[in-house]
Amino acid sequence: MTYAYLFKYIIIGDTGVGKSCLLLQFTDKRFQPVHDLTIGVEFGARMVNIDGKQIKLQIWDTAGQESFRSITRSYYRGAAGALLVYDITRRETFNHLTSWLEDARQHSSSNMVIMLIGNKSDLESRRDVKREEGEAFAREHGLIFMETSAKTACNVEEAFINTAKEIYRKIQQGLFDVHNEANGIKIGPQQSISTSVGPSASQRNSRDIGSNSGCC
Amino acid sequence: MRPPLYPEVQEPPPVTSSQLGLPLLCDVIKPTPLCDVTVPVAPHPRFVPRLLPPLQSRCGDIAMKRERGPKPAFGGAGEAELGGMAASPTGLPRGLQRHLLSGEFDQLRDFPIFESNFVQVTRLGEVANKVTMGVAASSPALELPDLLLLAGPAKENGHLQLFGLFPLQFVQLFVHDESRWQLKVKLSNHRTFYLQLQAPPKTREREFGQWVRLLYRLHFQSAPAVPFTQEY
Repeated sequence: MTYAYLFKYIIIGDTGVGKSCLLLQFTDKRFQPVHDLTIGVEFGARMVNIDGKQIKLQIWDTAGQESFRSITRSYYRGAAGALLVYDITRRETFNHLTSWLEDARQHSSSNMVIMLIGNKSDLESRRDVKREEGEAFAREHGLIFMETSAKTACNVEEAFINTAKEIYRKIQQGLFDVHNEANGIKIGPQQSISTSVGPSASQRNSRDIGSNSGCC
Repeated sequence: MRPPLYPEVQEPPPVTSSQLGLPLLCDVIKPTPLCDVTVPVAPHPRFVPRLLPPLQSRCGDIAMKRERGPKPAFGGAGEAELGGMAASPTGLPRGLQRHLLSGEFDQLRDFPIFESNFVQVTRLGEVANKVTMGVAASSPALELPDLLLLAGPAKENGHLQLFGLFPLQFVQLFVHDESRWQLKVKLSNHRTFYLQLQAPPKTREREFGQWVRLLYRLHFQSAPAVPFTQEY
C-alpha cells in the first residue's frame, strides 16, 4: 500500500449522531442501522486520490458518550482533520458543538481542518436544525460545512475527501509542516510517490471528487 | 475495506461444571499462593457492566495492598516487560508491536505491548477470524497496562491492521476455557467475544499462562475488583 501522504482524521460529536455509520459508509460503503456504542477508538482507513496524489486517510472513530469524553480528548493529538458531527434531528447535538469545538481547538494543532457535518439528512421530516444554522455556525467558527446521510451515502465521500483537499491545500500553501508529526500528516515512502500508478486492490475505492454531488 | 472488528459471534460450546472445577488460580499463577482467594463470579448472560473508575485508580497502592506472597517481578509498564511479562517469548517485537513501530500510528508507537495471536471462536467452535490482541501501557509511569488493542489481517492484503483501542477500564477479560486456551473479552458496550490462543504447542501453555497471570493482576491489583471467572 503506497501513498504520498497519510492524514490522521478524528471523528467527534455527541453519541448517536452517526459517527461510526459515517465511517462504515466511507470505508465499506454500507449502512448498519444498529450499531454498538463505540468505546475507546475504532479505526478505519481508505486511500483517496487528491490532485493525482494517493493519500491514505487513517480515521479514528471516537466514543461520543459523555463518560468517555476525557479519554476522547487524548486522541485529538496529531490529527490533521476532524469531522465534527451533529444530528439534524436532535437539537441538543447541535447545541453541544461549541463544547466539542473547544476540546478540538484545545487538544489539537491549530492548523487542523475541521469539517462540520449535519448528519441524517435523509430524515428531512424530522429535521430540528436548519441547514442555515449549520452554515452559520461553520462560518462563525471557520469550519467547512456539509449535510450528509450515512444511510443513503449522500455527501459522505465528499465530506471525507473535501477535508483531505483542504489539508492538501494547506500543505501546498506551506501552512502545514509535513515533517512535524504533531500535525497529523506523514509522508509516505518516497519511492512510492513517483511509482504510485494504477489502482491496487486496496485502492479500488480511491476517487477524485471534483465537486459536491449536491444530493442532500 | 474495513474488516469486522468482532462480528456476531455467539457463545462457544458451554463449559461443563466439571470443567469449571479444573485448575484454580492457585494452579496456574505461581509463585503467589492463591488457594484461599474467593473469586467473584459474573452474572450471565445479561450482565450490564458498570464502568470502572479512571485509569489512574487501576494501579498503585491498592495493588500493593492486595499483594500476597512474593512480589512478582515487574517494573514500570514502560520497561521491557509489561506487568512482569515479556512482550514475546523471544523478547523480540511481535506483529502488532512491529505494526505500530512502522510509524503510521505515531501516537501509539512507543507503547510497550504484550500481545498474542488468537482466533475468534464461533458458537460451533469454528474459527471465525484471526485476531491479534495486545495490552499496552500508555505511560511508562503505569505499573499495569491500561489499553487493549485489537488487530487482524486486512481483507485486501492480509497485512495486520489495527481495528480498535479500548481503555481497559471499559473491558473485562476472563479465562473462559483453560483447556482450550480460550479467553473471553467483554466490552462495556455489552459486546462479548471469545478468543482462542494460537501458539506453537511447545510454548502455548506458557503463553496462555502469561495471559492468566495478567488477568489475575488486572483483577486483583485493580480497584474495584472485576470478575475473573464466571458462572454458567
